[in-house]
Amino acid sequence: MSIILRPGADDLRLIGFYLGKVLLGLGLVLFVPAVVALSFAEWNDATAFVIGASACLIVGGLTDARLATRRPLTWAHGMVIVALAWLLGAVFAAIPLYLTGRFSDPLAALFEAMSALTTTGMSVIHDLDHTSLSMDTYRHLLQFAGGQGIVIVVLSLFAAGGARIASLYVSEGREDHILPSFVRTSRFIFKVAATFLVTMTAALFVALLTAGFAPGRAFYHAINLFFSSFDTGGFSVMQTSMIYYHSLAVEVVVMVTMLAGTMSFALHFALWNRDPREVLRHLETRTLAITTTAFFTIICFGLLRAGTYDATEPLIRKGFFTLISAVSSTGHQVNVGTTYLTDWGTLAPAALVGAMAIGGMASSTAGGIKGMRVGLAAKTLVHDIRRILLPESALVVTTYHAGKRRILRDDTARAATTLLLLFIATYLVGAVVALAYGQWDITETLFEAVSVGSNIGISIGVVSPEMPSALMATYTVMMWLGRLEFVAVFALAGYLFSLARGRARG
Amino acid sequence: MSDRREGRQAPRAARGVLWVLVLSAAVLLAATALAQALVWVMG
Repeated sequence: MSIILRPGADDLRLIGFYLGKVLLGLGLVLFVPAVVALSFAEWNDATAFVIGASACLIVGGLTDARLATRRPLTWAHGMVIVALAWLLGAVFAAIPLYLTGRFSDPLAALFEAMSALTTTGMSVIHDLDHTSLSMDTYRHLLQFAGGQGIVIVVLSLFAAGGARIASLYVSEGREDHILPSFVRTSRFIFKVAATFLVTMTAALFVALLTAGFAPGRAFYHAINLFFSSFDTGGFSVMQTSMIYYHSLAVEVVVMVTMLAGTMSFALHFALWNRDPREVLRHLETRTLAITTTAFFTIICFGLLRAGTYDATEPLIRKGFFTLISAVSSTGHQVNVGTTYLTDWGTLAPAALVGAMAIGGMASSTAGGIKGMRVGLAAKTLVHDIRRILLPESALVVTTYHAGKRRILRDDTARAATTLLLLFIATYLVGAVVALAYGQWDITETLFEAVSVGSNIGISIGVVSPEMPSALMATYTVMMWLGRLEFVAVFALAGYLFSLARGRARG
Repeated sequence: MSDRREGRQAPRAARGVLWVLVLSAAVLLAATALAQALVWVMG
């Protein structure tokens, strides 16, 4: 039996020091909406953002001054810091949200903050159509911070060297080392984001101008739409999400932005370096191409059979847009939530649930099980069948392409299938908790649970400011688990256990 | 990756965006063709 050692004061000091860095970063983020609020004389919100920023900067500054250490991070530290960073980040991000008075209670503000930082995009804000400019800016900026990996961003900016943040990077679920140095990788990620920020915001601005928006409003909507689309978040400036725009041009640009956002940074790197064939060869691209084609065929079949639509245009603008919104884990909606229940029949929503469960690509801002894991699980299944069918003495080797030709190893297959099962278990738990209230049927609860657990954000109507508190708390935990892909949270649980029951060192 | 491959950022960025646009256009065209085919078959 192995002995569990209790973490020492030095370990806790190290964790506290890096969490302080995260809070300092959040404090800087909060300055942007504070400046917007002051510029537009939104005094109530300005007060909330200044208080929120002050809380982050005071706590972050104190930990920075009192807990400073040059001890290197281990994997365990990195995992615990990542898990706590999203939790603590959401708690501190919720402070200004609650102070603005647009949320029923602190739990609703925490739900909104977690939804933003995990790029889920579910919202429980009251009267979204009449929120302030600074509040919209803050919610969308939080998604951007969460999507780009608040931890790696903050630590890249503040940490003394690249090697020290290596363990944090991997536990975020981004497994590809695109460039040898993590700081250089982070810089590349931000170069990609900045490039799309300029090009897609400009494209959205033009599309909104042609839709009849005044230049000022067009820019405001364009930049917020970019943040929520590229970071696969799905928050919206208006309650009616994409329905508000009634513009094919806007929908097309948003679709392109969502696709760019769900593409892994490793594939972006290949495209930037004249290697488009890598996109076509990659197991994840092929898996998502097959599953998305299958789901779209089912959605079209279901919608045509139910008589919902009878022409190509609505199948693309309603059906395909929603599917891309689900696959990319963005959550922008071109339908009112209840439409999936009342007008879409049974097949199309089922396909949508499948697409939401799989989600997008690993090494991107997308959520869900991820195409890579589904592809690996499928390869594992084929591998096992081949092993059964071939003679016992035959050497069965299965390969796949991900950056280079790789051999499917047992530990890779086990990790993929374990995560797949954990996601499915989370969906079921979320569905059962909602079912216990007796207000919704299994279709509604499963749809919403998959959407929350995969950090998608398409809602069938269960999530609302009036939803039960216990369900809101359950969904908040599910968003946290889904975003961190369980591993970091399990590491945190193990760390807490060793704190309570471990044997003292020395 | 060598430092040389990281050089000349603007053309690389433009190439990256262009490829995403090409791939997105291909995806949209394929989806439209599939939807049209199903409308014909079931319509």
